[in-house]
Amino acid sequence: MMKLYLLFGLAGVGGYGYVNHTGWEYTSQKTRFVPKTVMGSPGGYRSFHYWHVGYGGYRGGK
Amino acid sequence: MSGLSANCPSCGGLVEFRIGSSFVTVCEFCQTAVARTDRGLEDRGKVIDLLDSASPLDLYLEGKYGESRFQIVGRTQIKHGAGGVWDEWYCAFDSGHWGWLSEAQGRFYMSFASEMPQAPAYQQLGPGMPLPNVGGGMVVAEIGIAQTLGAKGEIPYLLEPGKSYSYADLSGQEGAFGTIDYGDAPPTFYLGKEVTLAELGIAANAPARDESMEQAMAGPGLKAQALECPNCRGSLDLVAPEQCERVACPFCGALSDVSQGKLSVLQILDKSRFPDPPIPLGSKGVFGGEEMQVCGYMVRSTYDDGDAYYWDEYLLYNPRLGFRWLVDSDGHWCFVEPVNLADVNVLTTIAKYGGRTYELMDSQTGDGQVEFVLGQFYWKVEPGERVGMREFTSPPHTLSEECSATEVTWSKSTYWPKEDVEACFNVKLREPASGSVGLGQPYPYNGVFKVFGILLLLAIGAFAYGKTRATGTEVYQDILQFPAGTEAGSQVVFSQPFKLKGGRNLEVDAYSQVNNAWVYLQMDLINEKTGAVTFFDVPIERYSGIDWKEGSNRTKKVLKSVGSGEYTLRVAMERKLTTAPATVQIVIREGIMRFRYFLILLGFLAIIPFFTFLHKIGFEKTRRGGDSHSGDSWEHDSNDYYDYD
Repeated sequence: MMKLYLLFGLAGVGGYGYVNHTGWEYTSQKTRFVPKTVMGSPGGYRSFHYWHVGYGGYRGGK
Repeated sequence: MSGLSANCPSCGGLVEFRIGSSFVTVCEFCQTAVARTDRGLEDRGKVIDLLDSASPLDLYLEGKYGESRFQIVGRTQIKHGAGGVWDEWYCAFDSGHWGWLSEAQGRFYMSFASEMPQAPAYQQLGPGMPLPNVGGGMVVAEIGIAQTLGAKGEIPYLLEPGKSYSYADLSGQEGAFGTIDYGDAPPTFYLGKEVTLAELGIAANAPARDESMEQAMAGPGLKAQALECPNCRGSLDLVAPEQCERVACPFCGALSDVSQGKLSVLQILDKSRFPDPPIPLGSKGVFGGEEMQVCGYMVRSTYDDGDAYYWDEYLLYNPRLGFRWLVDSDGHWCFVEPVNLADVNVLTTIAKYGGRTYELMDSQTGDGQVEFVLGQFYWKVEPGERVGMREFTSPPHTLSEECSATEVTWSKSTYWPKEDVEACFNVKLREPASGSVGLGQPYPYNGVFKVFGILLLLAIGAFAYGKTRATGTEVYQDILQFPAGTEAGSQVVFSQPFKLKGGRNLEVDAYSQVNNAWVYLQMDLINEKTGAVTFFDVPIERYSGIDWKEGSNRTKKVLKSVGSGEYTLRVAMERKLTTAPATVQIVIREGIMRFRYFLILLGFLAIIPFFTFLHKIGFEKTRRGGDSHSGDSWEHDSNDYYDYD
């Protein structure tokens, strides 16, 4: 049991060290690559939310 | 040293006084104790032949005590009041003084006549009594009456063969040893300490001088003596015949007294009441590098509310070490060694010995009674013999006190896993009783707490490392204006480029002075070089009434690292009220300390130790009193006792 616990514990500490080293977070953020040509095109770029949520998708808490 | 040769007044043979301090020499031809007095030589009577022991010592053996060299020039053999004999070796030092080297049950004590201001009266003494003014503070270990049996060589006092005298053995700290000899008036006090043959430089000398030492070192059993049981004529192989006072025949159960090598039956023990010991008499096993032989087996009991609890004790013997015990209680085994009484410091419910603190086990306090014996014993053991017992434990060790009317002894037990005992004697032993806990049994999962400690240190190290990286550097700050009257979704603002180090999380801190309204910020972090866009949203909403409020003007969002590089923040706003202008202050910090992950880690690491701790509480409860005695409760049915598959 001790070896198993040591193994799990080391995994936990290792994971925590990884978080501290890489700046990992548990978030819902998403990353996509948008070509520079699109970015540079006036009106060509729309936010991720435009396509996936749509404006007006948020209605607030009340 | 002053030499004197003369003729024995009894037989005329040549007797010699080699040492000036000697009063008596034993004629080697007729065994007469010859004393030198003012009137010349005097016949003090015959002494009996010494019992042939496997002692590694002998006359004329040389050794050293500290820096002083000595030679053994005499020997007396003393009979203990409870049976058994011990040897006193008369040591003459080069400097002219002399001392006694006492040998009993494989232990050696060097002592010298010493001053004692006022000897306590013998009748006032009792086992365990402290004598703070004697020898720098000593404790009475034993009181009794001894009888001089025989002698050999020279003796520094007027020996009277067969004379009985009272004595008190004292024990002091760090091996200090003392004896008050009440045979003289006033009583004589001898003070010294326990020694080993190696310390005396005798271990190296002895083999060349006397093969008895070689035999003794070679291992037990070589001096074994075969006798016949006077009841059944069965062969009794005595491992240490010179120290044998009682023998219980393993064939018929006849308990015999041993005197001068002859056996006389005292009683026939009911062998059917108890099963044969799982470790046969005569078995040999190695303990601590020393081979020991089982020479006796004993069943003892204690009573609690009318219930008897039984345990087994095996007497082990090695000529060099003397006697030790192996105890089986409820299938839990421990190896028992004697300890110096004065080195144990008892403070009500704890005892301190050898740097450890032992806790009194109330459930293990009571009287212990001998129920059954097999094999040979060095004292006059018999069923019904009782002693008071106290047990103090500090796993894997236990300190045990046994106290009789004349003697108090302490011993230290060390827990031995059953498997080790099995391997030691090549036998199959019963499993410990289900759910039972041995008195000195270490908690088997203590390692979990050690591992937890190690992991905790590692976690703290990782936390400290994270702290060095969590600088909380502000990489961007701006106040964004969103004018009134525009449609939702059409208000988009781009920040000035800013740089990120990468490898650290980000905190986006957004503040807007909204009330009973909300704004919804859709943000994109755009890597100017790679085109990677990280999408996230930050809602801000706050509502309030006369006596209530809900939400906040500030929302913080933590993002995982997006990598190093130059970034632009794109902010698109939705809001409830578009008729009024909106202002949003945005701050981005890189490297935020996140305590929640550390707490989660601690919780994760503590789960197993927590349940282990709960289990340990139950374990200790069982050890201390769940079962009031560690032995078996027994209804005198041997089939209940040993449950072999």
